[in-house]
Formats: sequence, C-alpha cells, structure tokens
Amino acid sequence: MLNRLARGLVRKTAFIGKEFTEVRRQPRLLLSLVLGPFLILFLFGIGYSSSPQEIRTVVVLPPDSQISTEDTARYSDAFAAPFVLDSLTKDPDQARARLARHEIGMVVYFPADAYNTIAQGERAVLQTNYNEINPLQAQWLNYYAYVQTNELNKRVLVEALRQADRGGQSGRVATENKQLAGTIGAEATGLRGDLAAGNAGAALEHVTALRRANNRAQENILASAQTLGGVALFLGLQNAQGTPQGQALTQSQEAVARISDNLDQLEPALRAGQLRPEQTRMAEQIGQDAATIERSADQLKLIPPEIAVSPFESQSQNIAPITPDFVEFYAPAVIALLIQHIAVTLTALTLVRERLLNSVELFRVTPTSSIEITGGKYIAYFLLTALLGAFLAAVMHLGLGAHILAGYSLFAAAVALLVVASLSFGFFISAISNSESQAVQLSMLVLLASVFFGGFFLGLESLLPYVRVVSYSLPVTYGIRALQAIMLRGEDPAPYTLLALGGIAFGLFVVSTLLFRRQLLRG
Amino acid sequence: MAQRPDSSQGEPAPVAAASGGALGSSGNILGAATGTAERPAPPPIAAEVPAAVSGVPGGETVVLMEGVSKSFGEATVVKDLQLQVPRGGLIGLIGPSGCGKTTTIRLLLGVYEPSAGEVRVFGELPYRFRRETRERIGYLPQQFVLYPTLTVEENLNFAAAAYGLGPFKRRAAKREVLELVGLTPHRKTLAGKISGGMQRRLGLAATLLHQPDLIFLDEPTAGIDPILREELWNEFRRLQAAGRTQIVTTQYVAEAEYCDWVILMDSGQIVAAGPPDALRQEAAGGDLVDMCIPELDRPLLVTLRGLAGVREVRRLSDDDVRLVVDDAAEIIPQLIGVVQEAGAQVQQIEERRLSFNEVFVALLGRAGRDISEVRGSVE
Repeated sequence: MLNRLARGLVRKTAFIGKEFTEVRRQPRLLLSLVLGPFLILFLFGIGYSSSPQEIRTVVVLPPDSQISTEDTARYSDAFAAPFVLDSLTKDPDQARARLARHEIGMVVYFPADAYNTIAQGERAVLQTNYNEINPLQAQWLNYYAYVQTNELNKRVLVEALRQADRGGQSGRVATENKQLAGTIGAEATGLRGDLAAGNAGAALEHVTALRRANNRAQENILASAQTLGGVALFLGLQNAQGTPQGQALTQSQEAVARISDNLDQLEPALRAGQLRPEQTRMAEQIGQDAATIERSADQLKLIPPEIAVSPFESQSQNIAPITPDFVEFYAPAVIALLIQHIAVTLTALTLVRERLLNSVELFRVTPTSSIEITGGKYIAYFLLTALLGAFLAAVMHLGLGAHILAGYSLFAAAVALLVVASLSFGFFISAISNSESQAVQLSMLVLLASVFFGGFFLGLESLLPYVRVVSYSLPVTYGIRALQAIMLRGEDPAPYTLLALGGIAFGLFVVSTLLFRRQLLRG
Repeated sequence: MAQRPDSSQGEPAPVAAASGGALGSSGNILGAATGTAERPAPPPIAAEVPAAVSGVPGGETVVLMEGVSKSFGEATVVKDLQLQVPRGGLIGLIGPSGCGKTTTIRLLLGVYEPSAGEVRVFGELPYRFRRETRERIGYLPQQFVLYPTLTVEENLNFAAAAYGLGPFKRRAAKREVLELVGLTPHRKTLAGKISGGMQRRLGLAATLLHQPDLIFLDEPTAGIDPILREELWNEFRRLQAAGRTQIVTTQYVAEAEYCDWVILMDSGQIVAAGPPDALRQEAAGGDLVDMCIPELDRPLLVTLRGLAGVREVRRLSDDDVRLVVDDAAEIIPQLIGVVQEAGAQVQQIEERRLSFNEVFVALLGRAGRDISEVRGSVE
C-alpha cells in the first residue's frame, strides 16, 4: 500500500520536475510574462492624469451686443474649470473653423434676443458646439456644458437679487430694524409725554410716526421670515421656531403685531380727542416692544444673494482607512490580473503541447493516470505562479509602496486561491484547444475580457446584469475584489469571493481532468 | 556480429502448412513475382509462435490475439489477426508502410480497443490494464515523444518517474541504458539539440529504463547507423536471454534475420509467419544450390533434374545453373558425384541464401501483393 502510494507520488514528480525544468529553460518567457505587463501597467499608473483636460472656449456674442470682444475680463471668471475662456468673438464662422481645427474645445453662442426671451418668462437657449468622436469625452463635454450653464444662471440670479435688494447689503434688515426700534422707542417716549400733558394732537403725530416705523419693521421681519421659512421647509424642519432665529422672529412678529394693535386703538381715540389713562400704559407697552425688536434685530439678517442662490456648499470627507494614489489603488488589480495572466498562459499550453508532441501516446501506455498528469502539472504551476506572484507582490509592496492593510497571511491565502482558480482556467483552455495558436488566442481573449469585465478599469456596476455573467466567470473579478479589501481597506474579503475562487478552481480542474482523460482513452 | 537465431531451436509452427497453403507452390525462386491483383485474398494466417523459440521453459503465453480486427469508420486497418507469443520471444513484425504494424502494436498496448476479436496481454484486456501490468510493459513509439527542452538525462528522469522509479532506484538503470544506447557523453545535451538517430536511441533508453517484461518497439532502429543497429539487436537478444518478450516492428527487412519469429503483414493481415530460415525456404520453394560447370550440357541438366531431392533446375548462363532442392547440405556431395560421373567438373558449388529482401518480395508476391507498391516502402 505504502509502496503504491510512494510510486504514485513519484509519478507526479515526473510532471512537477519536467514542468519546472521546461519553464526554467525559458527565462525570456518568464520575463515577458511578468515584466512585460507589469511595466505597461506601471507606466500607465504613473503616467495617467485624472484631472480633466482644459477646455478652451470661445464665446460668440450676438452681432448687436454692446460688449466689446476685447472685454474678456467680464466673462473670464464666469468659466469654472475645466472651461477656460479663450476669447470673445462676434464671428460664429471663425469660431466654428477653429473648433474644426481642434484649436479650441468648445464654442458657446449667446442668444441674440436673450433679454427679451427671459423677460417674457421663457428660457433662452445657450447653444454650445464641440468636436468630439469619443463618446465618453462627448458625454463629459455635455455634462460640463450643463454645469457651466448652471454656473452662468447662478451668476445672473445673484446679480438680479443684488439689484432687487435695495441697497444690496446682507445686513440691512438687522441694521434697519435696530434703527427702527430706536425710532419706535423714542416715539413711544414722546407719545407718553404728550399723553401725560394731555396734548392729543401732538400724541397723534407720534402715533403716525410709530405706525410708519412699525410697518417698515414688519416688512423686514416678514422678508426674513419668508426666506428662513423656505429653507426650513426644504430641510423639513418641524420646530424651526425653536431655533434662535425662529424665536427672534416670533418675538419680533409678536412685538410689531402688539404695536400695531395698540396704535389701532390709540389712533381713533386721539383723533376724537379722547384721552384716557390706559393710553399711557399702551405707550409704555410700545416702548417695551421696541426694546424687544431691537434685541431680536441681530437674528433677522436677510440671506445675501450669493447664499440665497447657492444656499449649500459641499464639504466631503473620505472615511476609508487610506486614500491611495493611482499606483496604490491599482496595485491589487495589477497583482490579480498578472497572476491570472501568468497562470492561464503557462497552463493553457501544457496539455495541448503534450498532444502535439504526441507524448499522450506514451501516457496512454505508462501507469500514469490522467489525474496524476494534471495533478503533477498543477502542483508545478502552482509553485511557479505562487513564486512569481510573491515576487510581484514584493515589488509592489516594497518597491512601489502598495499597502497590505489586512496582513500578509490573508493576502497569501487570497493569492493562493486566485492562483489555483486561474490554473484551472488555463487547464480548461488547454483541454479544449486543438492547437497551440488556439490556446494562445483563448488566453489573450481571457486577458482582454479580464481588463474589460474583471473590474480592472470599469466597476462591475457600470455593466448591464447579463454582461456581468462574463465578469463572474473570470477568477480575476473575485481576485481584484478580495485583494482590494485586503490591501486597501484592511478588511476580510467578502466570503463569496473566496468561495467563487475555490469553486472555479475545483470545478474546472475536475472538468479539465475528465476532458484530458477522455482524450487519453480515445486514442 | 549478431547471432543468427539457431534454426534448429525452433520448428516451423504447426500453422506452417496453412502458411504454405496461403503462399501456394508457384513462388519463383529468382524473385520474379507472379502475384496478380486477380488473386483472391488469402485466408487468415495464425502466427502461433512456439514456446521453444524463446528458449523459456514453461511457454507462458504473454500475448494472444484471436480474430482481431480494427476499423476506423469505414476503413478496416487490421483484419482477423491471430497471434500467440510466448514469454521470451523476439518477434519481428515486418511489412510495408500502412500494413497495420503500428495499429497491431497499439491494439496490444490498449491504445486502441479492437473492433472485433479479443486481445489478451499477460491475460488481461489491454484497454483495461491494471497499473501493475502497465509497469511491466515498455513501449517505444514510432515518433520521438520525449521533450526537446529537457536534456537527455532529464528525459530519462521523467520516463523513470512516470513508471514510479524513485531517484535512487533509477540511478543505476539510467547509467546502464545510457551506456547501451551510447548517449552517456550527451546526457547533459538538450534532446532537441541531438540528431534524429540519437533521439531514437534516447527513446529506446527511456523504454528500457524500468526493465519491462514485455517490450514493444515500433521501428526502434529507424534512423540509426548500421553499427549501432547491430549493437541494439545484440541488446535485444541479451534482453531475450534475460526472459524479456519483445515485439519489434522494422522497416529494415534484413533485420528479420535477428528475430526468432517473423510475422509478415500486408494490408492489415498476416501473410506469412515463421522463423527466418523457414520463411526463406518457403519463399524459394526449397534450398537453393548454385553450380558453375564449364562442361554443362543438356544431358547433364536432364540428369540433375532427375535426381531425388531436386525440385527444379534452371540454367542461368552457359556454365551456371541453379537448383531448388529439398535439403542443400544433404544433396551437395551427391551433386558433385553425379557431375563427375558425367565427365564434367564442378568449378564452384554453394548454397545460395536468399536475402530477406528477396524473401520478403517473393512472399508478398505470392500473397497477391503488387510488388511495385511495396518496393518503395521497405528497405
């Protein structure tokens, strides 16, 4: 029994030794397999710029515009990145010709009758032209144009609000209400004196002045209440009144309402020449309310036009454990892709080469079974690919500073699973190929599919569900996800990634061995 | 020199009569083929090699084929083969290209399953060989199937390991086979860098490495120089002496001389089988005796033709005559006496041994094979 086991092991070593030696004899193959793709991806990583390219823009003004085409300063700050104002012109043909020659990236046409159109309550169309065949770039340009148009709209709105803001100072309401509160207080004191002196006519003049000041204060409070109320409504605030601004508004509103009531009672009586003791108490109350208006005035600022137009600004914070640069971010994907590529390329040729060398005829006669052949080869290629993978990871980690946050053991386990899954994939290709060129072609297709569908550049979310079937059949898809979790997030990989890699490894190995066995038996 | 098999060791197989019947009696001893396409196909010939040829007592049957045919689609490649080989036999399978030699070997190895009939090797069905049985078999395929990117020694290591021989067990065997095939100086050379003949020798070394009991050699001497060929045949004889059974195909017809038993195949069938000398006699219709008699005349020819044991007399020139006799050794003294009695002198007399090429062509011709087709496919 032991002897049989030992002989079985020896038979496997035939293939382990042979494969090792054959690969060792081809140093250029190893170099091209490892260094080739590594250098390409490394160059891409360090050479790729994520910032969008500058889009030089020419603005075509209407022929009857009063704006000089030399007056670029008027619009230059209205263009947000990536747009840069190149020039102003009134010659649309010249602008289009420059666009056709790719001298500029975009032309913006201001509509001739924009003012009239807007004045009639309609939108004016801001026409843009670009010259782009790349659909992705065309989408970006469309999006940028939309953002730029919004930016222009905002600027127009700010200007309109400034003009509408009588004075145009954001703190006007508070200042004015303080002044008005002072006026009301002073008039209330005067009213009290005239009431005490029994001078109804003079008291009536105070009442008139009080009403004027109170009405103005009431307008200011209402304007402030409306803008803050709108924001509260948008934010869904239930108890906006509980905020300091809300309380100030309420108190101010109550104060001006009481003043108004008191004045309503005082005015007809004084006009009728009636002087009563409670009128003095009313004047005192008006004085107290004036004090309330003054105290609350600081909370009643009007929202400045820039804030009213853009009430929110974003301030984001990344809670990921690290913020990798491009080389660091692509490191897990590069390692996964290269490991899969090496494993598939090495194994894709192995069985088909045996068939072409006719060694299969010898295997049919020797006591070596198909599982010993594929198993021996599997062990050899596992060791080879794992060694190369370790070398690659060491270069990425120690040389390029790629992170391995979750630790080496988890990393090694995930890489080992990726290697076995990729080897099985390669064996499967080898088992179904009839020639070396067919195996090479299939390996290249796998590489291509991995780049497009494996989540290397494009997230799987960008693919339609039925296309994701291709992604989910590739070991690299799971490898990238698992290694990204381990290297960049410091987390355990999702269990499904490891299970899928194990499943591919086992399933395709069994299928490949059965296919090879059939080829051995067929003769 | 290689030892010729001692024809006294083995008698023609019991089926020899059938062989004779198949060949008919009209074979031309001078090689003038008389076969015609119209001749009906010969009935199957059973090649039952007697145990005596191997010199192995007991006569255990190692290989047995009974009514075996193999077809690929519509084409039948071998038909109704009957073969029985005892342990220790050195059997030569000879025939033109495409005659079914390699298919026969593949049937015996279990690479192919027979379409009809039964094949047994070591008592087992080859396509269901147990692993232990496979370990007893060595096979040298016709093509070089080892690895050009491995050295000679690495290829041998691979072959040894494939048969379960560990590193220590294989060391002596490796040295021995490298010596045998003369590749010791090249053991560190890549197999892809050695000549075709050396690759053949490497293949042979790999076949013999695990010391198999039954060895199938498909064209083992193809592409090998004559001196080494002879050495290899010596080695085959040595292996035979050690009790190994060998079935060898060859395109060198002359190598049939080295075999105990020769099986001549054509169009997927056995057309003749027997020890080389028996086949030679069968091809010639008896032993041949060439005489040179300066005073040769018609009355002397009539006298010679009338002697007992003389089957045929043909005048080759004014002075030369060839006789087909039952037994050359027995009749030569009698022939000298008869010539002298007739007042003439025998200037030269010798037994004429047909080359195996001549035997081969004659036998195929008798079997109805178009000889012009055969000539290009054998040496």
